[in-house]
Amino acid sequence: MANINISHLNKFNENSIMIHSADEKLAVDHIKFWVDIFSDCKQGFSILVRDENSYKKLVKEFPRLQICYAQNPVDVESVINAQSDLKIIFYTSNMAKNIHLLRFNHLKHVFIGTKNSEWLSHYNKSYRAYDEFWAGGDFVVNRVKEEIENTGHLQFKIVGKPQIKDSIEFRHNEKDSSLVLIDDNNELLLEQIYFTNKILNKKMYLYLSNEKDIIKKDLLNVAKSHNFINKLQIFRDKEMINDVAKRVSLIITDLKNINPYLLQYKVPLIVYIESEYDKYLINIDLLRESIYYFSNKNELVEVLTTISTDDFLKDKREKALNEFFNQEAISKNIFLETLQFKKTF
Amino acid sequence: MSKFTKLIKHPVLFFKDAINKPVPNKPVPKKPVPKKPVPKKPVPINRDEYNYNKFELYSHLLHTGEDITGLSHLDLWLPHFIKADVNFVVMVRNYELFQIIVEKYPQLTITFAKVDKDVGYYLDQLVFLKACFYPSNTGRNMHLLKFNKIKHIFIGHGDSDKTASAHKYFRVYDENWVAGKAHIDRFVNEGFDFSGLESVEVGRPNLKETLEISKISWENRFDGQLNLLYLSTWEGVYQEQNYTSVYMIEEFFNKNLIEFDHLKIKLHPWVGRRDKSLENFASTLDELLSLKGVDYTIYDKTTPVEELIKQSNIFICDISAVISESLAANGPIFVYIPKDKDIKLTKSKMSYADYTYTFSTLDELIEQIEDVIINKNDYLAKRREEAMEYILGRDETLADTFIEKLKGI
Repeated sequence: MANINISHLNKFNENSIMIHSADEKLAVDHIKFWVDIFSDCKQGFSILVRDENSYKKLVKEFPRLQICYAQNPVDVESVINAQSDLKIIFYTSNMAKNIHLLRFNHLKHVFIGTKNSEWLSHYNKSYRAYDEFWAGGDFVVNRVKEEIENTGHLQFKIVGKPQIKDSIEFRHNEKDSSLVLIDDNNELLLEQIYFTNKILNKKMYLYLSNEKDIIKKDLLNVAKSHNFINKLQIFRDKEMINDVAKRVSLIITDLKNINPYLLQYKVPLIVYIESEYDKYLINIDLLRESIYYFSNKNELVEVLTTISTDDFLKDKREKALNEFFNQEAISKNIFLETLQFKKTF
Repeated sequence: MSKFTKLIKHPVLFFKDAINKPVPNKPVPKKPVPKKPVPKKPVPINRDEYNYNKFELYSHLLHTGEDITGLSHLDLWLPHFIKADVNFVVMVRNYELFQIIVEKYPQLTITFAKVDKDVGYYLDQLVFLKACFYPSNTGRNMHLLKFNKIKHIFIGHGDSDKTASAHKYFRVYDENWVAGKAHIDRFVNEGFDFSGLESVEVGRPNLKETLEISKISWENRFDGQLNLLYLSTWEGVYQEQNYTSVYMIEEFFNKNLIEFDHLKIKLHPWVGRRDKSLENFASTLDELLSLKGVDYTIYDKTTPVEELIKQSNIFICDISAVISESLAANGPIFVYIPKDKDIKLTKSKMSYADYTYTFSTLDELIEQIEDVIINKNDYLAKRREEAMEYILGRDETLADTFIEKLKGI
């Protein structure tokens, strides 16, 4: 294959926006995270990836999108020259190859990151190459400012994460129901959670992967014998987690699955830890302080009983949610609005 | 039944069996096939070091992310790092370059780090490191820029109005050490915000000697001899970026060398890389000049351009960093500006036309040479003096500001 492929660019394109991912392994995931959002802006945009396999996968999955591949700096220049209306480049990751685009002074360079980059990335001075940093909330802005003392010209824009708009705005809480998201190899924990829900007569939605059919069968048999079968729903489709999470009144999970995105459902998060010290494996203070913990069945019963009358971490959760994903920005579609404004600059 | 009995009693059967019975092949003794030696895959070298001691208190690091081209960048700065007597380590990212540098500068501490994590290996050890210096912008610089507690300083490897001289990527550095004010103005004129980048004027230490020499006027410098230096660029990746004067210089040399006592030529090493008709251009010139009985030398890429500049007092150049290098010698500079090209330059307050004699055609070059050299009408002499300060930072260079700043880190 050649070093460049621009065959999917519309010949008379008026693209003012290009999304760039230079990541060799994760470019497909990065682009998939953003592609719907950019499609919503009804503005001509293209995608540039720097890895040949990622290019092939993306073209196969999104045959109608204007996806380009360029290997070297000269190829990148050709991609840019083929889009005379180009004004902004959005970067999903901060890779060494970004330098091939950052040298174009006539373009605006905006860093938008990936799904989890705001808490996982190590921020450093190289982020100052961008003109703007679009952030989900204050959390990442503070992180960047702490890491890089002099952020110079870099403008921060709080745009929220438009991807979670739906779950923030539309909720149908099913009273006394829980979503259980745990490492399904931990059968002992699963048993404890099952019995707690049974004792408290709470409906339990359990995600089990395809490989866990035996556990599913056993659990359903037990539930049947306990006359709890109507209150236990087991699903295996990962895509359903979001829909179920929007419906339940609390989420029970473990350290492996804990993630700031769980805050978007605005329900108590109850996390299993083996010992008190495990709390500190959650290295984000904001998140750690917004969570209820349990280590055994009795503690879980106690937590669930307490929060049924007094969800005392609600405000902390709300604060954390806003720090990670500014709700106002999401509700007001600031990302799209800023994007619309940018196209005219 | 023996074979003999079978033959006697059942001859038909005997012959039938004899035909059907497979004759065993005589085992041919196999020649021992000499085992092909499996070529051993060379073990990739990811890290290497020379004179390196992790307990040493290195305070400065000079990094090049380039391949072999990084040699000229290091050659430009290493003598001044050595002169500054700071405790520094050199980091290169190309193993061939590492080997060359080790051989060329055996007194120095040199490390080779191939990828990101190899850089991390060394930088995690260099706890006393205060600053990293970068002579060029490469993607690999990012591997060092991850270290937030260290000061990151761009020092460049020349000075020109090319677009590569001032773009947004420079903002990743804490400081940009520039020769003179011109480079700061290039950033200003590009119109983007670079408020986080501190610009520090340090002069061009490699031009100090040339600047000293240039105190004698160019007319009197070599006992009145006229030493012409021709420095070409190459034909560029694309035709629209083709700024080279090589296409017309042959004709110029063919007709107009009577005025000059000596001619030095250094072509860009990439001349002929895209335009194959130029592949043997140096030989073509050599043939032409030898026939004309001109006193000339054609230099290859190993000769440092500043050495040639010191020995010359008249210059013909293409658009590139060599213009400002030549400026240090304070002699008339003739610069080829292609007419039909949209030349993308970052502008300072002084354009090439302010301090050099620009030409776009052979006739214009001949006319300018006649006026300035033959008729001794060097009307840009004063502007050239201004440019020496503005572009090269003459005062800072002569005052060894770079060395002082290095020491002050």
